[in-house]
Amino acid sequence: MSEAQLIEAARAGDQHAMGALYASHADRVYSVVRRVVGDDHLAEDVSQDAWVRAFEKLHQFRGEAAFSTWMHRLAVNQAVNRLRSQGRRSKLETAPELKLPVQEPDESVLHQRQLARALDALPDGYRTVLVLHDVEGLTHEEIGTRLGIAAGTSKSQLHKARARMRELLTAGRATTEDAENHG
Amino acid sequence: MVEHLTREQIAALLDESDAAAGGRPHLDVCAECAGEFEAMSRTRMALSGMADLQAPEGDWEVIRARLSGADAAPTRGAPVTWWNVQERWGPVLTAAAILTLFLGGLGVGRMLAPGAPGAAGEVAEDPAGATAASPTLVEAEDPDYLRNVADLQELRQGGPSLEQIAGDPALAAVRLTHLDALIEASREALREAPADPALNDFLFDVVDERASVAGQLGRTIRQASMEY
Repeated sequence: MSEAQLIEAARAGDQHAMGALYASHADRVYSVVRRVVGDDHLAEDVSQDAWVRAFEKLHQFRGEAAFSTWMHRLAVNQAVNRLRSQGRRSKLETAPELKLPVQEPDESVLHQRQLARALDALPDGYRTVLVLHDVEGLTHEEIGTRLGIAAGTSKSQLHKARARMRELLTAGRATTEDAENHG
Repeated sequence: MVEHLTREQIAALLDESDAAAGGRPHLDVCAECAGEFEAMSRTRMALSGMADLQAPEGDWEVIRARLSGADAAPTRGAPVTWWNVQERWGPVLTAAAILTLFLGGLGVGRMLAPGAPGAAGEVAEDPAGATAASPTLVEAEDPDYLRNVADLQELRQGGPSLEQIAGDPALAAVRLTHLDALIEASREALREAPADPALNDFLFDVVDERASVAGQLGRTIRQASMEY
């Protein structure tokens, strides 16, 4: 069954078709949501919300863009809205401490983990712009539209985010080296 | 003494349009800044190549349960009004209707406030002006306002406990759809009265409860899958 047929069947309430659509795009949706919100539990909740909302609004999907693009946009919106709704509380929280594993068998895995942890430690606004631009490849104009900010604001936030990311990665490396020297 | 570029300036150089604007020549004469630029370039490349994460197991079951629970619910996105809430959602969602009344209360407060700028007719014709003015016109002692706050809290606390939800995924799914509607109604209300402290607290409380219920439902389903 083609994706267009799956979408048509899902619109009619076919749960197998919904499940197939979910299976095809679940990892992509979860990835972007997880990286934007910076928290495992919140990401699980938000990505579930995004899927529920997607199936409820499937009648609005007209096929002008790919389903993956439509779903990606919806997931990002859901993640950004959740961050906004929790803004007041997240400001009260301190950034997570950046401690890296001392021994890691695979250097590329270590690097991925370092990146992931540094991303999580960024303030919400920086992380959102950095993920959307440097990970997801959106332009500043697209980010501006999604977040309701000017493209120039997106650009300056990105530069601050990259600088902060670099600080976090440097701090993380120092932490690892210290641990190795004393271990 | 060489003046180094800031990290933000170096970060801007990663984008070609910004690199053309200046700063790039400094990298040719400053090994320290050039090294920082290289490190940032590598980080950027690593970010663009990050592999997809795996969606948590059991998520689809939670989503399916929620969709099943929502079958009997009004279409999301439709305005939550007193009559459809009362008729179709039962006592728990009466809270959503109170949110609507809450706004009505603000309007009444505006009309009754002595010396308030504008009259009731102007509220209808100038919703933007009403939005800006309404939070300041409600007196904390206003009995209607206080009664609405008390009703909201009472109704929200009338939901099932996490223990009940843990033993009944269907109940959890229905509760989630109820909470979704409350969140939507709260946001709608906050668009009218963004500074109202009771509405803000109510929204945060409902979002918290929703996160707890969704988490519990996920755990219940995962546990059931493992036992199966």
